[in-house]
Amino acid sequence: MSFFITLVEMTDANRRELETIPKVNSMIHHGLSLAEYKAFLHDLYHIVWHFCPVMAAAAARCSDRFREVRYDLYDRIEEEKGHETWVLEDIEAIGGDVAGARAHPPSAPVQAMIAFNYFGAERVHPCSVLGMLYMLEVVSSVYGGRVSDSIARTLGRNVDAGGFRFLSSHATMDVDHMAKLNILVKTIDDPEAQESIVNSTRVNFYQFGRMFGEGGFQSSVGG
Amino acid sequence: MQRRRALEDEPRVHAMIHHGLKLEEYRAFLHDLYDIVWHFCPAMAAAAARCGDEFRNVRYALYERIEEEKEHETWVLEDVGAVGGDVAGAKADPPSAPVQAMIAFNYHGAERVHPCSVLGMLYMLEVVSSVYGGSLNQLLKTIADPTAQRSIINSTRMNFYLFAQMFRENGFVTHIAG
Repeated sequence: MSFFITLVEMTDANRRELETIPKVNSMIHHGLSLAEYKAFLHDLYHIVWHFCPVMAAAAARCSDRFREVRYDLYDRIEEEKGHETWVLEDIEAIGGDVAGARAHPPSAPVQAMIAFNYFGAERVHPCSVLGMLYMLEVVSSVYGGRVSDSIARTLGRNVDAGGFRFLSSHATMDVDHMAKLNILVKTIDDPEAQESIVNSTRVNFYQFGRMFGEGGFQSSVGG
Repeated sequence: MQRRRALEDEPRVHAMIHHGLKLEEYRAFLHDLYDIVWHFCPAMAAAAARCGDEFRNVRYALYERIEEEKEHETWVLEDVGAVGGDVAGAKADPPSAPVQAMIAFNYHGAERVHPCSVLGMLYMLEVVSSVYGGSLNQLLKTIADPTAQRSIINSTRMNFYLFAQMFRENGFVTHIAG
């Protein structure tokens, strides 16, 4: 069986667990209040800020045994670089605190997720980073479009009128990224690399879910 | 303070303090503890390696703690063995997701935020286990740099938050076979 299918199957429970989180469910169907969306973008800014440096840390540790992974990471860095400024533009467009998003750390679960991804890339196995990519692309391609539409509707705004550039563009972009990831992940036959990807995917789904719970982005709303 | 109280409010922490743990829960707890203890000295070493002479006393305090704490992970393995737990499994399998995140955060803090972040890890573990007495207080009093102070506060909050997650449904109980 293709390792991509194995990965999907072995982490499906973790993905489904995400959907059972009440705040995730209500965000998909009913969007977020303006204060919540601002707080969400603050956390998102930090996730996106670290996205390329984490991939770079992993690329720096891929020997020729994982040459394809290294080159795939270079391509992704090229495509994703600078996207944290899109999040800042979105924050600005909805009247959020741009300087605050840059200056203050994200919520505890987001700090933990970012930290875990460097740790995985640097100390466990460089292929761990593929677990981060898989989680983020599942979330973005499956939920991103619906979520940006729901939030825009709730806030009485048009998705194309500013404030939704990151979410709406990535939803489409990541369908293509997921197809590329499928091809890459299939090439991984080393058992240790496979284990690191499964573990990293699980931890990423878990930590991403915590962002919607107690101590997550809502903890900074009006606080 | 708020974060420490939040830890005590965790139902499983409360139950553990007052009623202990079942054997299988204790084995699962020790599995997670093994990985926390394994990374304790390397995380301090990563921080020590990044302390300039501005934080010379932190660096030397870390050397001393490494000397005191080194190899204590083998004590945890002995405990795992003594309660009939799976020693090889504890060594081979990763800890629960929140514990992986806690370990990862402490390297990230030490290496990418501020080396003094590691003092947040020490503070949390000291409060939880009450091992060090007053020596950490003395050290913390010497930290005057505002960036270092902020990193210690953030790291302390992170460590309490993640340690509490260890007692929830995705924490150490996930090691219980089933």
